[in-house]
Amino acid sequence: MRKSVFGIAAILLVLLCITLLLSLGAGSVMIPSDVVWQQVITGFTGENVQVSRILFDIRLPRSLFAAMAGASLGLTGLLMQTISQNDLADPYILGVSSGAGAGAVICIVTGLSTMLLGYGVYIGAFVGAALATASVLLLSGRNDNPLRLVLMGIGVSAIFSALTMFAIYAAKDEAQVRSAMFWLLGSLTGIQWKVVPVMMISLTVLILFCWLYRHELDIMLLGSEEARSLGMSYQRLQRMSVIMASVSAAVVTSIAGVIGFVGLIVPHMARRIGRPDHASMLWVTVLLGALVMVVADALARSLFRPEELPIGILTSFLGAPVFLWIIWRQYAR
Amino acid sequence: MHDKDMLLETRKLSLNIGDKNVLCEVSAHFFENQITAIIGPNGSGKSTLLSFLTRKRVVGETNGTDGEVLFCGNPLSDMSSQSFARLAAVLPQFHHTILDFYVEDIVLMGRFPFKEKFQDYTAEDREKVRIAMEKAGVSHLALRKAGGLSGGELQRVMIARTLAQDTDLLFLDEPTNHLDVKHKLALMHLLRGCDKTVVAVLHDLSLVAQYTDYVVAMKGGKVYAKGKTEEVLKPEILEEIFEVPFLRFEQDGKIYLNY
Repeated sequence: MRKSVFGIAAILLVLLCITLLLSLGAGSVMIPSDVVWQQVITGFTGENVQVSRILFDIRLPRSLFAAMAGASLGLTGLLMQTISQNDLADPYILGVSSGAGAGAVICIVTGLSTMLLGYGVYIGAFVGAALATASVLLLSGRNDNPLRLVLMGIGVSAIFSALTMFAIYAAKDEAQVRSAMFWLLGSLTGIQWKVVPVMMISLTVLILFCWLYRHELDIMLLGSEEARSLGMSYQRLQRMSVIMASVSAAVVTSIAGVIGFVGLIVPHMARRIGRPDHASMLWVTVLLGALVMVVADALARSLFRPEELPIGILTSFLGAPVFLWIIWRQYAR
Repeated sequence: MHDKDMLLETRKLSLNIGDKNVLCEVSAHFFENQITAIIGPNGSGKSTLLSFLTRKRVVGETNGTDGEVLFCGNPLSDMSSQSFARLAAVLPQFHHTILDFYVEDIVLMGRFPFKEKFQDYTAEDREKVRIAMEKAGVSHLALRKAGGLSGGELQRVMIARTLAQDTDLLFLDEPTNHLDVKHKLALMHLLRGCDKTVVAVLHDLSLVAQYTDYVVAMKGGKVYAKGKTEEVLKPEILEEIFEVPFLRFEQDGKIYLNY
């Protein structure tokens, strides 16, 4: 019955591996794919030490991170869409990104970023995201109307955006403003091995959550009343999913900045090519999200060589038209 | 006294929303292995009564409620929603359709109440789904997406999901909605033959006359009449409830109504 999904997943996996390899060659220094392959099979101990260093220290962690971040964003988007029963929802609709943005920018502007062992921006983003999530949860209260949740997200998001604007406006130092803006645009520049394990743990927990609750998430789509008449505690799962999605989005955002539209577009594509139940959606979304991000990142660093385009700009340029197209189609009547 | 065991009972059940009496001291009984129809004009409180019987509304939790709802003599509110879902299946009047889901996956959701935490659906579940789809006449739709179905087909899919729960108790809110004559009769026949306790809100009085054992007739939030079907479905009672003239005749022990 699920054969078709296995097929799709296998194809996506192969594509992902190929793209990952190819992406290693892309960047300010273009490395031919046969050299990349040589390096990979020798465990990055080729005779050209400089190439080995570029591939292993800079590009490999970055590409791996991109893949995992994409998978995480896609899956978070799927969760958000299920919770809100609105397939235009994405990880940022609950204000997580604005919260994380405000937190990070405030840290940069106040100089807190240089303190806290250099983890200031990450911690700031994380605290901001958590604050935003908590506000949305508190404000929507014991009400399980998905629309209320989404609208609260928009409202909270507006407040945090205003905070961000204020922080940037109030900043005294030109360099701080530039640094804050750069972070808001979303970028994978300077991703190092040290953040890879964090991303890996976060993604694993998210996948595990979605897998364990796959049937519950299906039932959730029926709405609170029918879910309850099938004996499911709707509100509990709703809350757990919101927290899960927020934490995952905060992890990605605190490391890579604001990367929009991946969480929105990827579940849409997954729904088109696979089955719509969460057991199937889960794997297709993870693989597709990873694939999309690796491709996007490879493009971001090679399109305007030797300059690099912040990936957030690229995903918005590519994602926004798709978003418009979805609305155009979906609300045609 | 009645000759059947009472399964569900409401005692002086009232619901006030604002200054409106949606339900007013409703006392009704529902018997084991019998089909009970709730009838009445639009807005008479039929679905509201059903919402209390199905725990969608709970006395004490919902604002403006008073009275009792008893299941086997105990307050229904004592039961968890999972244990209730294992005993009773509910077909709502308006359902949320997940348009891009396959029919078999939707029907399979009827097995959800019986799953322990993180337990997957088993071959036994899928067998029950197969039987339920057969009974509801939707086997041929198994691999279709819900979004492409007609209103009647969708209603039968929802009936299949309700049957897949395989409970002794069925609550159906206007189950014959969207169904053509053939499928209406097939459904009622199925209910008649399945030896379950059925509580159904029904509009089609000829179906009520032919297929139900008991009737609770509502008007303006109150129970206007209740009892065995042949006792309630009398022209003088129906005319008072629906405010149109009725004609009743009997043939071969069956009641026929015309209006």
